[in-house]
Amino acid sequence: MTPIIGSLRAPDVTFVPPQRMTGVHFIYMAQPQQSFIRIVKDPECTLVEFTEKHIIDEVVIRQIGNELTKLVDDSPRPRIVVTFKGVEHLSSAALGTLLTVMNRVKAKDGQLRLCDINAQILQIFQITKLNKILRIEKDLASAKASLGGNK
Amino acid sequence: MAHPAPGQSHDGRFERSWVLLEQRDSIEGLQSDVNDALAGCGYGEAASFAIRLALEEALVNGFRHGNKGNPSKHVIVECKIDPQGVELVVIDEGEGFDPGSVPDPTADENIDIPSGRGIMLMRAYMSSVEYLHPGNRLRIFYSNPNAAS
Repeated sequence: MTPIIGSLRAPDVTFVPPQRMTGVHFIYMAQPQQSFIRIVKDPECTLVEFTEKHIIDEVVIRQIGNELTKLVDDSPRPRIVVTFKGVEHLSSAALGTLLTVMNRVKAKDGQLRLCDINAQILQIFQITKLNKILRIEKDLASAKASLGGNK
Repeated sequence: MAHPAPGQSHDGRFERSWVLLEQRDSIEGLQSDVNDALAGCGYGEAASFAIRLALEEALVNGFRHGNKGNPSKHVIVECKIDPQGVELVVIDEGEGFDPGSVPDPTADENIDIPSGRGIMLMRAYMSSVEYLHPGNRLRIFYSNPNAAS
């Protein structure tokens, strides 16, 4: 069984909207942030799973982006497979985050694969033509098999 | 028999409006009400997926680009559902914009830029997408593919 190495938690701040406050305009409170991905270390790659079925909330997407960025930054040559199993909705902001991660992975000469994408979500990638620049595989096995180069 | 959602009549029609601040609970509540109304009016999963996606993109654009993230500014949503289709009007408190100025995100020179796909997705999933002058009022329409002609 492959070990789950846990969720990356960046020390972060949460903005408290002004309407909840009196007397001051801005307060920032340090608090632990919830994670929205699971990271599984595999001998061949790092597997990322989403814990949310709707990846549409900007706060959730920003947090996922931060965690994926840290994952890429912490690896000398990242080999990452992101599985979309269970994901039912995706927004354009989530696409943007995936592109940002892809650009960072490419900059480190790494590899990124997406897999287990349902038909409705796949259509979003096709409409935006991102299926041409993001490597999408049918399932985890084919995603792993498609990874080339040194482990 | 399920009770109709607030704003829903017994003849497969629904009409309601919301005034929202950028709070996730409010947006999820709106999405849930619209989803329930769609089901109550006989719309299927494909319509539900398309409308949820378009509404999310419209709201994000309204709050982020229209209201420029100002937490005290509102977005108004008007929704009408009938057997012919679904009309959504999304109005923000911004100054508007020229939708023609948004670059094509599928062009080779823009394809790896992270932003700029929201309007494109709305256009792909909706039958019509119109920004009314000065550009802070969006009208989107989903035509029911199963409507009697």
